[in-house]
Amino acid sequence: MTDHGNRKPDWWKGAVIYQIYPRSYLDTTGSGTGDLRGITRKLDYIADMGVDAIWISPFVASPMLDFGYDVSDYLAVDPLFGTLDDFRQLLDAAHQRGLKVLMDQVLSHTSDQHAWFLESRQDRDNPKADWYVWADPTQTGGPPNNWLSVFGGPSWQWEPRRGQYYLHNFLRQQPDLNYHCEQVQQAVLDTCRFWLDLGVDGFRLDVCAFYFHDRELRDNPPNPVQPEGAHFMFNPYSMQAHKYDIGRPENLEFLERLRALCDTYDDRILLGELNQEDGEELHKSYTAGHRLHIAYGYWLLGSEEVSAALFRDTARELGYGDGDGWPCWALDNHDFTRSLTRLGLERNPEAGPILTAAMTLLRGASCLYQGAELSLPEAQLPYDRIRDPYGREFFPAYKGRDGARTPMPWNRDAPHAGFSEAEPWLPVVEPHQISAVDVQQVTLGSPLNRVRTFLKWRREQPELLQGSMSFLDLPEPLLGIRRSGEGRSIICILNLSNDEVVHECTEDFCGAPITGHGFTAIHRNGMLEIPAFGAWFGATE
Amino acid sequence: MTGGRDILLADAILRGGQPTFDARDWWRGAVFYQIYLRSFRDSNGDGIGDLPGVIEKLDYIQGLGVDGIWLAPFYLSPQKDFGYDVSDLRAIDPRFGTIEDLLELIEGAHDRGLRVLADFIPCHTSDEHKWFRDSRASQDNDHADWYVWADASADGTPPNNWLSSFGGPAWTWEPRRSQYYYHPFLTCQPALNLRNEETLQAVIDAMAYWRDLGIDGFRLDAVQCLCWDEALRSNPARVTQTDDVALGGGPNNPFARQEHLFDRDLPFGMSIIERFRKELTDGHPEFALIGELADVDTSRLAVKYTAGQNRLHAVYDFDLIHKGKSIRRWVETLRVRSRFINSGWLLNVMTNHDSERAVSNLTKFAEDAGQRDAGAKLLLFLQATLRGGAIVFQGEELGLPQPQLDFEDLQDPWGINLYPDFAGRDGVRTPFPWRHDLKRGGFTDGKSSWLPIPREHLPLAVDKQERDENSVLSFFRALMAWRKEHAFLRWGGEVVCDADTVPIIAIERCGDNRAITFLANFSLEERFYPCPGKLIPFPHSTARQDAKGIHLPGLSFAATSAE
Repeated sequence: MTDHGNRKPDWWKGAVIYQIYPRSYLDTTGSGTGDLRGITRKLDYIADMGVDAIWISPFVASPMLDFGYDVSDYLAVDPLFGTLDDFRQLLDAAHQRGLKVLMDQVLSHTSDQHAWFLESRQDRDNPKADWYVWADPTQTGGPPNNWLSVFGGPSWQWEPRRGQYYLHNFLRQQPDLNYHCEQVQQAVLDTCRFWLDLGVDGFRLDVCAFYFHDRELRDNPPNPVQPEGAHFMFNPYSMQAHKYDIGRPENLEFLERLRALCDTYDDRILLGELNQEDGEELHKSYTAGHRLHIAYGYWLLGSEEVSAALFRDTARELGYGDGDGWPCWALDNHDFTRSLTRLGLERNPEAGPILTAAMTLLRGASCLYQGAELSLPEAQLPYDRIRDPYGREFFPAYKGRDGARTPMPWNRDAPHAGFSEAEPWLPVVEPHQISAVDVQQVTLGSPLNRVRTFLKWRREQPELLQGSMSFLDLPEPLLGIRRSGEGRSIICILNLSNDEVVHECTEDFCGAPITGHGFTAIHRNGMLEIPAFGAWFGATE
Repeated sequence: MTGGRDILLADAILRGGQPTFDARDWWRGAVFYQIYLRSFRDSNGDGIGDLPGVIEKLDYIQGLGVDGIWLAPFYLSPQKDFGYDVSDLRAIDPRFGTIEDLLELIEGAHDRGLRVLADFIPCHTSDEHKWFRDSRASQDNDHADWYVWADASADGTPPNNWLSSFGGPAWTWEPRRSQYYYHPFLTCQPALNLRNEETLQAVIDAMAYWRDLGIDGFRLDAVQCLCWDEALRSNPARVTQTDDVALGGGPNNPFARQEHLFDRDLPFGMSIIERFRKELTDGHPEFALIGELADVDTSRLAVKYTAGQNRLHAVYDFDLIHKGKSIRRWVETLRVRSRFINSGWLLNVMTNHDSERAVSNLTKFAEDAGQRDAGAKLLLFLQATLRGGAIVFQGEELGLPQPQLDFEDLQDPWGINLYPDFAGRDGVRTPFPWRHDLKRGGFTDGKSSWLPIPREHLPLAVDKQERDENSVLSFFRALMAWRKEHAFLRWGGEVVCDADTVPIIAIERCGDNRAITFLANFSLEERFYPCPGKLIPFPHSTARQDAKGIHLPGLSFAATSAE
């Protein structure tokens, strides 16, 4: 293991984590698909952005029906992305640059091509017979209870070999592991140990509230708040209160075991994904005590309008007192429409830096998804280039998730923006090509340069990393945040609109100006003048 | 039991005449040759059989002595269920040919005295059919009500407990409409709402379109699924586990745990069938409707679908395929069929494109003993002499065994999913062996075929068997010729003797003021059948007679007459 940078035990509390979707970062082999060596090659770029860590979406062996979230071998790198040696080199090179490396662990389910499942499905008395969730049909042959798949329809699939149903919370090709089986827990812990021994700094735990199911397979009750209307993506899944299929109390015990394993190493962290509707409730228990370090929800990802209230109310629901857990904020990831487009700001790329600032000024860590630093809009793809099965199925009503997954644009004038020498798996669209990294690097005031300036400045303000937080009482579109450490507070006032805002306030209120963050605002004559998408930072006692 | 037998015999003579033979009843007691188009003959070298390939081989079919052919679905289809998922009910899939090819085929068949049945799938379409693409898009389009849509129950689950024949719920969620749709088979085969008059008429119009091109009738797919309970009531659990209902999908299939009161064989289905009959045969008295019936007690229920003059002409089912594991059970099934059919009509089927090759399924003991040809002849003998007529699947006239396929060769998604526990339906679907001396058996002149030609089938190719008078093929031709000479077999009455005679199956057929008893020895050892009658010359029969009765060598058969 390489020694890397200053060891700050609580580095994760205010960390900025850069999410990399390896298929689309950089292709070094001419396959049209990004790979691990491509990430290694761009580590200087990443380190120079002022982020603390990278999280790499799944790169282990998979039939890729869910683009890597269906793992067929936890201990092997998928040949599409390279080799285990490539990963070791990536890890060393990242550590040399002071970057932590988080790995995606998809532990709730496997692919149906995983050797464990291939064995388990054969009959009812093989050594792995109990490794997945098997249940007899009811007296009338139907599934054992009313649980539903996140993708719609019952979450039970018939397996004629065993004459039983198996549980799958997602695709039917993603059978759910049975965590009530001690051997499964051991196998999962062994998987994690393998990667910790290799030197990864932690895991992003995919759907970590889904590990356990109710052993008695009790029916979920109907959702007392029945969802209304017939929205296009309306899903019967939301008609149930998910009392027995997810968020089971046993999850916490297992997370404690996993945490205990991590704690036998230096400085490793667990970032859990809580993507369910009542994630705020779970957040409290999952980040309490010796469980997750930070938890990542879909709180901002689902937003379709930007407002100060969006940030403020979400933070209040999660809690930000001393005793509360540490959330991990995200405005973008590989599953959601890119935020500029989603929030109706596609024509205002200058809004990108203020959104990144708003997110990273909240108490907690943040995930910055690749391309957000460039203020990339959602890529609009023609039907014949869509690869996401959901997009292919529902086009044009729903175009799928490919628009957030297109390749990184590195060089404006190179074919495929320098991502690959071959035709990439998804195309680079024109608006991305002209926003390429090489152009932005030499353009004063480009989103990339502003994000870099801000994140590097932020990293030097201890109050912004681990300080306590309160909100200032300000009218929309102003978001006011006070972050306080020992002896100093930083007053942050952000204008989330496309118009200049003039707000009357005293210097006592807004503090003495701090510079270095790249945003402009002026306080004069008792008036605070903040330009469109600008921000004020002031220091008070 | 002889007393009982006499009564039955009298009864059969009395009632046997009820379905009188009439030129319009050409289908009654006919022997159909089932052509699985993909695998019969490839005329253009693309590895898939086609309509011109059938035209090429019409002389061969005529030479078999059969009465007609049944053509597998040739409609436009994404082929996920190999043509039983139709995406345009009025178009021919280009991989099978053109409308001109079909017309030429019909004309060529008619010139040779062969009738032509086309497969038709009235209960569901492919999910790629324009009707379904419209229907799924919203709750208020022109085709919104053309399929079976239902809201989720209060907890988001499907509206009831109905299951697909393949296991798992028969309902699939459609996010575009926020509703579930019903599919009794694959999810890509949504059920049509034939309660909707507009839909029903569109289906009938499509059927009339093909009728008017000159075909002689339809083989209708899955007529037990024409309708469903309008209140969508859940099926109750099955109370008794009898095997009166023979189901596919293996012994574990959860579909077997329900009494299918509300998703199969609904009363309203009969009124749909009556519409079919009326609209398709009014003014076309010779047009025939033969329905495939499954998932219910078909031997007993066939009569409901066929009795009288206003429903189907005939039904064909799978009881002989599914209930052949014990010969005693099989004989009981034959007796049930004989007793229940009354004035209805039921064809005899030993295998089809969904089953195993008959000789490997029903006479495995003969195959294992190295007497496969004898087993094949025995089954064909029975199929040709039972009351009802027959559908003979291509290759059965060659006595082809079930081949072993490599996993890499499988095409059937069902088999790919369950290999090696269930190798799927590809084994019975391999290309037809015309020539023993060509690598691809003369099926295709191209470089590959969609499924391989099994090596073990090549020595059984048509060209070899034609030169061998003892071959299964030579027997089948002689059998058909013999049958033609005994015309009453088409319609005459029947008594199946009781299971006491097992392993000999004895069937009495009566009509034209005569009666013939057919004997088939389903064992490897010689058996004796005491009877006063005398042997009638029958092709390939090795039976001997003495004063007390008939000596049947293992796997042999005979015809005897009381006169």
